[in-house]
Amino acid sequence: MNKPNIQFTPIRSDKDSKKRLRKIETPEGIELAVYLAPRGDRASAVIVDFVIISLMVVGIGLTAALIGKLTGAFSAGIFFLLSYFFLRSFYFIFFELKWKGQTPGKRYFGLRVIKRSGGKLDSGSIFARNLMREVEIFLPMTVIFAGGIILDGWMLLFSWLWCGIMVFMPFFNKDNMRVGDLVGGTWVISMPKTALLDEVGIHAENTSEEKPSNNVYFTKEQLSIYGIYELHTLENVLRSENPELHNNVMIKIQNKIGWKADQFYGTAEEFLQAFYSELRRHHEGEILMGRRQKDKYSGKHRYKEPKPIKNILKDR
Amino acid sequence: MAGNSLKSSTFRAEREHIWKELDELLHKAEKKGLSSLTSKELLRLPNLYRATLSSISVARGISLDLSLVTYLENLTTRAYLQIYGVKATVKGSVAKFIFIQFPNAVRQAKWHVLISFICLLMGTITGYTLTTANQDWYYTFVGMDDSRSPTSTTEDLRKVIYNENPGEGGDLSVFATFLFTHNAKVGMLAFALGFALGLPTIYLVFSNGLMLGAFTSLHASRGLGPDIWGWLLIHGVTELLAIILCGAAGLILGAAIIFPGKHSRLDNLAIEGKKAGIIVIGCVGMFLLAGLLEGFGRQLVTSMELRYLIAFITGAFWLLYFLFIGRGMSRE
Repeated sequence: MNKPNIQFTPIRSDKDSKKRLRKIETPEGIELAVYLAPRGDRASAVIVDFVIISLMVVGIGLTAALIGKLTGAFSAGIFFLLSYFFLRSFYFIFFELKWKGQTPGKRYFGLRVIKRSGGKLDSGSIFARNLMREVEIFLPMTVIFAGGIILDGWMLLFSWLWCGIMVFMPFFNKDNMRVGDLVGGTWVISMPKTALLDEVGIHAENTSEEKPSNNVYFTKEQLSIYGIYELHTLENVLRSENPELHNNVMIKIQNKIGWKADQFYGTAEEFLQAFYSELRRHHEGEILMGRRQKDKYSGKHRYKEPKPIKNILKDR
Repeated sequence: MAGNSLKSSTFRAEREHIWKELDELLHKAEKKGLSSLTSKELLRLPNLYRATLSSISVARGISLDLSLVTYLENLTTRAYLQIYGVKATVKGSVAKFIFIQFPNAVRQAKWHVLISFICLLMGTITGYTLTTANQDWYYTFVGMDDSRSPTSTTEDLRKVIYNENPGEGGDLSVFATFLFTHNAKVGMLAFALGFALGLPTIYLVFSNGLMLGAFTSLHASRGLGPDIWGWLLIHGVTELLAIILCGAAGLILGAAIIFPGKHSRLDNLAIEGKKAGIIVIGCVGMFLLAGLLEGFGRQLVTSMELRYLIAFITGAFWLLYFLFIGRGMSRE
């Protein structure tokens, strides 16, 4: 028997969310969906972090100046060198250890570091992924600002090429991994918080056993025209609270399913609420029978004939 | 058609309070950390997590409520990350790092350490031999801007070794700090450059050896051989060892890519990278110790014999540390 194919529902409706969908397995054996962070969000997060680092460097500089006035230039120099070094090298490591894979920038953009293999994120991985910033950020910066002074000709060209590969590594793989992620075995995922919205549909408003007076009936044929994709779209339409949109959608649906206008007296929203409830009831029933109609196009091909064995043999 | 309510709707109504409770606990834990939860809440968390986990399996099977499934997907992933996400804490990991992880990682990389050591040794021998034959090599290996060069007088060289230049005390400790940060950065770079199949790492370690060889050769030519080694090794045992270990960490990365073994290259890189990262962070600590020895030890201890004694003690200390500490304890 095949493993049941779990249907993950995209959190965001943007085009690339399916591309960013990855699965991790919990120790309980349940697959969970995670979404890789878009490159733009990651770039923004790292910029926020570097702005914070820069501000802190300014703070360290001012403190060093104060120390210099009070106790002399040498201790100020030592203070500045040490704090700058630890800030530069351990800012990311410190926060990712303390905040469970987040830095201030990542937290601001709802990003988080996780282990690709699904286990716990351990300190070794955090060290490795952040130490690689040496070749991803600091070395390219040196090459940009001082490369022309130290190197020349082919060596300079090679350095630019090498730094280019390091910096733009996230563009060369489908998991948006930078070099540090490769070495640390990590992914950066996007975790936007979602709220539990109230249910839509007439069944949610009226939970009593008796049927409402203006109950609308749909035939099974009418309900199987649309699939689950359209059901989800309708859910979003109902949440939009836009009467004009509701009206348009109602007319479209009524045309499609061959609705007779004299069957119903009510607003567009009432019609859609009723249709949503019945459509959902229909498809949830179908799922229990093992029939999952993905969208309106897959309705007719639900009972696909298996390929005859004879043909398979012939193909060989 | 019996009744108005949907099965999936009843399912939601019955369990919603569990999800809401988990949601609130997670919100608190995400804002202020897991430690902000009371012990009662902490005990509740895994139960709520498991209940929600079973909810999502059911919801995926029976519910077509998009907002519900989306919400549960998000909630379980958040709970999973809080419960299983990160093992490390800053406080707990320091002791474990020093007494288990670092020495174990170094022991596991013994062949890489050996190769890295050989690179440094070859560099030193080359630098020493070439500079002894022709002192112009000194400028190639060490550079122009060092205050000590073949043009310095023997007396000047001797004075630097035994801190007899007045008024340079403070200056030297700043210089030692600078050297610490510089060396640590070079060490981290040696590791990170290992990603390029380890070749730049070998070059970096080798060129460090060249510098060392040229430097000692210059002093040896003026009859200051034993003095300069005392001056170097008081902190150099620690520092050179850290350079060798950082080189080894870079070689681990290179080797992980070239020889992936039974894993895929990507998986193997992740497995080995973790160990190498641990080594490099440990080396930053070693560079810091070396900096302290350089900044304070070398200024306080000006006798050559005592300097050799300290060098010997630190050498013995590192040997015992890397051979025996944390042995037999699991890396977890």
